[in-house]
Amino acid sequence: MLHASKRLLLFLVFALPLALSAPVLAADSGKTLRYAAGNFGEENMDPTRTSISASLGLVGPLWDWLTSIDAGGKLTPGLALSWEPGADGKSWTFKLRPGVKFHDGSEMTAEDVQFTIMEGFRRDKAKSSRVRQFRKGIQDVQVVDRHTVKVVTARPWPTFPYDMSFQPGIEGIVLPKAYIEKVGWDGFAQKPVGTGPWKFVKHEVGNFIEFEAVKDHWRASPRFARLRTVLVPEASTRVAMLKTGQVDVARISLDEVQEMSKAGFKIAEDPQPTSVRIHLYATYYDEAGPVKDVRVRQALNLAVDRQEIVDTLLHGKGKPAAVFPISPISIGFPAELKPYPFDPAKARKLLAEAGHPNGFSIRLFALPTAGFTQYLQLAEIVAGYWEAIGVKTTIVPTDIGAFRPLYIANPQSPKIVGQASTFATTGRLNGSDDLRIWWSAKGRIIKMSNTVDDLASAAAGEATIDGIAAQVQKAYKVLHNEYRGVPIADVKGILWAYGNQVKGIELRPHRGYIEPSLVTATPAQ
Amino acid sequence: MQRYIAGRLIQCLVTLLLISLLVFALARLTGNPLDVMLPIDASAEIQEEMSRELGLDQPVYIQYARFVHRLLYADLGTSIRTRKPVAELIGQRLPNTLKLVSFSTAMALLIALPLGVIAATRKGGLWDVGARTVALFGQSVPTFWAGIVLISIFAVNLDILPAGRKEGIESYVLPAVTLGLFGFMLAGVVRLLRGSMLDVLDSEYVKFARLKGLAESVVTWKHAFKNALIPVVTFVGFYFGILMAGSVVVETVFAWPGIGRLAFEAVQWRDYPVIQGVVLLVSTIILAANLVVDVLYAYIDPRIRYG
Repeated sequence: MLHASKRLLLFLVFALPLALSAPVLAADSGKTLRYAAGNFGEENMDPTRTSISASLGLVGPLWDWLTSIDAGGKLTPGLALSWEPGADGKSWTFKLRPGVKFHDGSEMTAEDVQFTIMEGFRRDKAKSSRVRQFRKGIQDVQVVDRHTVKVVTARPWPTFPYDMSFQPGIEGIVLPKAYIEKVGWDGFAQKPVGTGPWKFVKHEVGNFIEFEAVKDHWRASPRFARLRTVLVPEASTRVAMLKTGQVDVARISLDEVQEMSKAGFKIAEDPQPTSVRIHLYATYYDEAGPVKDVRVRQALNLAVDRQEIVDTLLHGKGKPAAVFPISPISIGFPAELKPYPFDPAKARKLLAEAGHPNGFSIRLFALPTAGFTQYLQLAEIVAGYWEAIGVKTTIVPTDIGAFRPLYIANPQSPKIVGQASTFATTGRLNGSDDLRIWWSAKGRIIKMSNTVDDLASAAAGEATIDGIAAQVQKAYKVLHNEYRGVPIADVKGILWAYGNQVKGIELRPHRGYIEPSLVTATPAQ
Repeated sequence: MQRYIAGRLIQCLVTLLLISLLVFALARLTGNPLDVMLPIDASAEIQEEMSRELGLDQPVYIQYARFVHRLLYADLGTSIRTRKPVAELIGQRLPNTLKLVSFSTAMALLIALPLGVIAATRKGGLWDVGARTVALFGQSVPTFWAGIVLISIFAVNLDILPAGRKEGIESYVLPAVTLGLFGFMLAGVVRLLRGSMLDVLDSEYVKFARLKGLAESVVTWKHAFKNALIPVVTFVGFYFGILMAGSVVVETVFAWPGIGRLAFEAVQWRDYPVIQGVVLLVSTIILAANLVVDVLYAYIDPRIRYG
């Protein structure tokens, strides 16, 4: 009996692998563009229900937006050829590009735009980042004719055309009304149909997504027959797969640039830099400890050698920053403000004046955001600078899921009040959005000062782009003079390495959130 | 015998219930999925809406009751992140992990069985020292590091094997070697078999076989090896389940679409239903393996049944 059972177990141990590992045929790589992404985000294929930045990644190749922007942040036509504000500033009329087809063959019309805004991004289950703004700010969308649509807003919305580009998010796409009404939202999420240069073929959660090229696409027809995006979470494996020719394009981080260039691969970068900085939390509250004092905040800033961080940690791929998180291509970027100098002697003096001749203790939370992988090294470097002026810095590694509840609470958790954290995000085109989100008391993150609150509200209420720019610049001057937070650098850190079957790629500013459509990838032969 | 099996089954069910409670509580201690999923500037209104939609606004005991109630109907729930049924997600990934773990188990055994026997028959010799060194090495090198080093040698420098992902039979080699050789399976089997062989080789019936004038190879492989294998079989059966649970690291390094990585992603996203589903599944497999081994033992040795 013993022998029988033993044989059975042995049989199972040896036979299982043979039975289960029937050879899997390698995919035909001749005409397939193969891309290794590091993160698939939410993997929900319904764009009205994807919210967090990274989740949009997967659906990027499927869609086109009403407007587009170039590398310098200038608006250019997309699915809309032109747009005009109404006389009272409370409406925008878009002229749509005629002859644009959804992947199911039907033509995109003004009715689809109306459906997208009124029923798509405003519906109860929608959870994109602008849901609330859409529900409150948009009163109506009117179909003027087959290719003309008028968006009526509650109050002037000068940046609306910017908000319809891919840079701020997903809301500028056009959903297929007839198709969604036929198959329902769930059916649509199973098999999405868009207007982009790639057609959906297959998606396996956590594994891969496959697209097929759309022929004669108005923007640019892909030069490859298929696009296969695979998920490879480990950075060194992505690099290895590129080197062994298993993929043609891979998302990489700054750490890998030199290695990949040396190995003969080319690097493509998002033209818009990411803002890398250290937050100082809740100087808004009296109990915020030493950082409540402007001299202490100045000292923490003067202690940091930004140029050295750019040259070493960031491999020269950036510039020391004077403010955050506004981007050089954003409306209202205060170009005249200069980064704080590196002056540790003065920093020590300021600390002594502020009553901390022997320094004080601070916690520096290190958290990964926006694909900035060097957050822990950054925390170590900054801690080194701070220690040098006598500030005892304890690094606390964390992640956004654990950290967000601390800053999102109102009032913020005592665990972070008066403490610091690393942060990296890419600024929105409309500088007043970031002002509201990051700095105002109404926003939910740093909650700085009443002065900024007023300026943020003023910026949001402006009826012209120039008006917004002026208010945003004013606000950043205040933040800069008050040393709110420690700006580090604007870094071109959203990077892709490519080679093998691909000769060239051009990228638009995506804020690193939507995976590039790779429609510009040119084959090597 | 039936009574024994029934008793063990009830024990298993109670254990599973306790595990379900534990994983339910632990998953919630790590944070809230909304904090990871919602945009950085989401309003309180959106947060409440989502919370209601996902049933996270209910008291925890009601959430747990719902979870167990659904389990009774074999329903593992829906992933918070992808909105797909958990069973479907696991169904897509489980075969990949089973294949990988089976492959690495087979690979580890092919090396470990002869090595263990040779180490015992040449105790103190060069082979023994070599085998014990291999075991120690496999036991002490962390799998993630071993994986990266193997990729760099065999994929990047020698370019003879793919660096990652499950694409063709050759893509099994590196992850299977990493998991089997550095995931304690090889080390465990070599050490266990060596010890067990030494015991058996010292036993009366082996000495008797030698006295009969049988060739040493026959004594070793036919008489001693088979009997020395009993503890090894138990270990392998049990460790198969542990390897499945331990595939998280290897699957992440090699971009292997298995349940280990599914669990890893679910933890990152605080996707409670998926975390619960994967942990319950792996626990069930380990418990079932134990149950089968126990029942087999009880069948073989009546003392266990009545003891």
